[in-house]
Amino acid sequence: MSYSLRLASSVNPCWQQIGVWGDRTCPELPKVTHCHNCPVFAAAGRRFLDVPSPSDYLDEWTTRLGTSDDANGGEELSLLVFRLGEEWLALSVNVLVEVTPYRTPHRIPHRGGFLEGLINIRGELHLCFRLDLLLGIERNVDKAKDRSRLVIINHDADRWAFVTDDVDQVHRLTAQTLTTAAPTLSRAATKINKGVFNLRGHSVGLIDEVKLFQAIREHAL
Amino acid sequence: MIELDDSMFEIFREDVRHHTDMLSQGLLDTEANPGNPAQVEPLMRAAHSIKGACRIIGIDLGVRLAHVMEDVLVAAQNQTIQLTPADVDLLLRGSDVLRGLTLQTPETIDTWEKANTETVTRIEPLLKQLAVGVHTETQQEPCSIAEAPSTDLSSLEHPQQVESLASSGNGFPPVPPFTEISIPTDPLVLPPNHSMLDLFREELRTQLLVIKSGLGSDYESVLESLKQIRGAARIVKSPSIERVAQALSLFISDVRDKKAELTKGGKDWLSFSVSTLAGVIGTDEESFQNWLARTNETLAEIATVFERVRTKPTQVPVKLSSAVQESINTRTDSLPPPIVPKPEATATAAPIEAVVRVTANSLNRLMGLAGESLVQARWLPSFSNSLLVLRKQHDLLASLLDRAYHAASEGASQDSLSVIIADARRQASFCRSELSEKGLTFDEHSARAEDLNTRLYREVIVSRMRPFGDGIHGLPRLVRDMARALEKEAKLTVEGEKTEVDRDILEKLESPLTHLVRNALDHGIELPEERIKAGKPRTGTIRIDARHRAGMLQVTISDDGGGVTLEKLRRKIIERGLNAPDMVRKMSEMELLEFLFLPGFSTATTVTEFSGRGVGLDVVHDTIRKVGGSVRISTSQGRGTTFHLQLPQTLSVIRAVVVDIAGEPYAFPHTRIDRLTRIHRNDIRSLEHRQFFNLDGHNIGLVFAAQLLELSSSPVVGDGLPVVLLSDSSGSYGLVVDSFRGEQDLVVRPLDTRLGKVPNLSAAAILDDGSPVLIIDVEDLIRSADQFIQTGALMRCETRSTTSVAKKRILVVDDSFTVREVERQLLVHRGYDVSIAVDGMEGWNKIRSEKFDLLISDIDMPRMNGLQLVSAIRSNEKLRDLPVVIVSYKEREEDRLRGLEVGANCYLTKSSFHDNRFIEAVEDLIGLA
Repeated sequence: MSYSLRLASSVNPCWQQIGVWGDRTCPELPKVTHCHNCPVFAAAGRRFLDVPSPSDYLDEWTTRLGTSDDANGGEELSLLVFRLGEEWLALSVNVLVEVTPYRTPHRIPHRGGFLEGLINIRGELHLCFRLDLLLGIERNVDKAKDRSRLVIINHDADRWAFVTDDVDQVHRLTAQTLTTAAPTLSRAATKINKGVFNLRGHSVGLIDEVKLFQAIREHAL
Repeated sequence: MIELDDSMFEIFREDVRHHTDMLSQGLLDTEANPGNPAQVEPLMRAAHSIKGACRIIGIDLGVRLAHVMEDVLVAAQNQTIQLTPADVDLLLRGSDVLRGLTLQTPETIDTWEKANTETVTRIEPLLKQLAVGVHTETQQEPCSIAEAPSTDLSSLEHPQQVESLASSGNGFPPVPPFTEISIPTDPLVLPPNHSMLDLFREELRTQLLVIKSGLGSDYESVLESLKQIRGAARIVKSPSIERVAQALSLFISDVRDKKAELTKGGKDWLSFSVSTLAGVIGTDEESFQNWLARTNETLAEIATVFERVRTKPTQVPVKLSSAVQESINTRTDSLPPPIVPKPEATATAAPIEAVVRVTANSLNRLMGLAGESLVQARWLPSFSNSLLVLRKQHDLLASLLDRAYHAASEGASQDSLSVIIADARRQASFCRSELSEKGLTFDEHSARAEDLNTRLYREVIVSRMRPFGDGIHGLPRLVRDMARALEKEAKLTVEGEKTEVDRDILEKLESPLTHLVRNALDHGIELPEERIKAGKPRTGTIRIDARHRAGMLQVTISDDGGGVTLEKLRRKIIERGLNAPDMVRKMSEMELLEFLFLPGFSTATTVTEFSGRGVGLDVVHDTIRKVGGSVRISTSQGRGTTFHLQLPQTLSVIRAVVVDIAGEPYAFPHTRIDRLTRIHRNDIRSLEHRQFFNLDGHNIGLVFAAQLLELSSSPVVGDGLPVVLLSDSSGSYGLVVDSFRGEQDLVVRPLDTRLGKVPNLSAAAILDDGSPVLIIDVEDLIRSADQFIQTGALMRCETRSTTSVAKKRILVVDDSFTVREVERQLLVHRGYDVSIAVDGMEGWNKIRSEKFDLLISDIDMPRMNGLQLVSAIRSNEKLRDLPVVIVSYKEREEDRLRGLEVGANCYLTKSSFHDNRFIEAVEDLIGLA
């Protein structure tokens, strides 16, 4: 960065000369023990923070943030990466609402299949669907739940929750790194798959969020 | 018209609703006490406001009408004119037209304008003349006036409505739009391995063809076909189709028995039903379920329509002369619209987010409470910090005790020991006082928090309240119009208009109240001459009284009319064969009056004969019951009749009984269950594969709740089966559940609309522990139970007690493969579930992550030996009580003692495999598998 925030020249950085970062000869030092406790230091700090930003500061940041990341390969995607059974999957954060600790959904009688049940999230009841069934992924439902998380997604006021076995984190990814899905994926999964990318040796399937919501509507209800 | 967003329009509608309410109410008051300019002033302002509102939205017709109305009212206020009843009629009519605006959406405004242009053009000059003092001709039939606007309303809202009015009495609502599906005449090609469903489709195709051709002529074959469909639907487990077939056949057999012609509405609905059912023919295994899910609601609607038409045959009072009767008919059909928005109208308005009026005061209080609750929540972290200090003090105490212990074991002198102990005691008492102080603070806080939250919650409930008066705006008008038509004189007095009532309840109350008031006027209040003869004032009084009593809302509707003649009622009951004559004679007044609520008890002739009530009282009863209330009648002959309605104050909270079904909580509304009981397995009797038990001399059928809800569950264990007793007019059932949880207040939340109507459920709620609970729709459940019992698909309750199916789990830890295998096989052979670990460390990990009933361990193992493993288990909080068996080659006595010392329950040597000692020891410790 070309700009620098300099202290006003009128301030004498005594803490670097006679203070704890200098030769410790300051007569005040025995009283305050450390320059951090000294009013001179505090006043200098205050002045430092109050200094108006240099005129080119704003311009520089505007340019920096305004430049597209062409160098990195264009469009960047922010994706939440999670695990379902043995499969690693990713979903765009555009539809992500939140990730919460697991709680057992209450089954809904006469509505089995893709609908897992109702869960309470801060006093609101949400419908929970089985993403594993929707994608044809084998998953041991009764396994220990300590790493399980609920993921809440929302698209046009259509809000759903689903259970994952583990949630990694949000990763940023450029569109180029995506490759088309492997033909080994199950038919159900390919339908809503947008592509595959590699993350720490796992191959992660990216879910097409629009098709996902369509599929939920079709199958879960 | 300008572009509007929905919320703006909602405000407009709310505004118009408010002002037209005021207009119609005020006009009636003016009519009752003419010549009071102060009374007219608010009316003038109401008309003015409507004019302004219409101008903003851009409804010219509304502006025109409101403008002339305002002129008339200004003139009345200045006392340049006196309003006659005919003038009031005219103004009321104008108000009705404007009222129609409240049912519109921005899209339908144009239609409204078109439909009402004619009416407005007709009454506009009349009103203009009126404003300059030319009175409306008195000859103008009030009846036609009152009738016209509502016909206008309905015609512009839903074209079909006119038709149903025209064929008044046949009771069919308009048919939803549908296209007739042609039914293939060729048999379906069935796949070689055809399923039940394929057969059902073929069956349906044949039978529907028969029905279609037989309608209107050959009722016998239609009925036969419907019977077939019903049976087939039962086999493919589609209760909704079954219900439709049932409703249709009952309706058609009624028509056949009465030798009546099918009405147009009836025909339309029948062909609609056939077309709907024909949809099944084109489905396959997979899409059938989808079709069902999609069509479920339509099917339910069809069934309800036919059931309702059947149970409520034409209700025409006969005593009245035919002319009056006709006017009543049109009236009773046309009167409600101003107050009850038609369901279709609300459906069109549904996408608009409803705007609710909440008073500024209430909102301020809510803000205050919400802020305060935030403050209280923020107090918690600081409190938790202060607990850290307490913990440090406890650490100090612990270290003092340690010192005392060490000093004692090193044989320190008595004096120095007592000094340390004194310190420790001082520290302990300090800790104790600190702790009790903290506890006190916390108690105070929790009491405050509870109080605050209760207040917050109450305030929210209160903000949903509306004054009772808001819900009965239409009634004075109803009484006036109807009394004029019946040539009676009556007035309505209302007490407790300010009583606060939940919005939802108020909405639900409207139609029963209208019903009861209409009843009172029609059958209760006598003609003026009769009244004078009986020594009563000429004008009859209908009194409505609303008040809170004992946590319930109590509404009474009383009239000073003729009352119910109990003798005639008795005769009627005997005539209808509803009860044995000698029983009827012994019945008390209360018991007799209960008969009035029976559906169908009040058929035309009987009603007016005993000068009594009856028209649709069952409907009133049902409506009130549905919201969890009750209705009672009291009467005194010659002096009048009173209806007492008792309703809950709010619908958003219900008292419920929570039970477990298939391992998950479900709630039954408190008002809808008869009783909870436990029955012993030995008390269950069985007859023709149906199970029942005897309770107070009644045989009650047993049904498994989990089965009704189609949930898989493990059989109920134990000898006392928890049973919820439910009943409706058709009978009672005992519902077997897993266990009772208790009673609780639940805040009712509607089920997600995306789910549609889920059979047997009415709503959801959240329990104290934050887990969701589903609220059972008891009526629906009883219907399902009925179906299950009829189809005989009932699961039987095992009459002997079963033990838990979950196997006991044992962890075997040994580094020798052979030993592990021997132990595993011995145990598996005995029915235990066995898991293995190859050394102490793996065993230790396993035992912490999974649940076991017993540990069997070797001693000599790599990484962690058996003794270490056992002592680790014994010092673990959760595992401390786990039974442990050590099996080792070491046979010396001191090895055995060491094993028992670290905490093993049993020490065996490997020779024990050769006899039964190993298995016996396991069974001694944890019982049979």
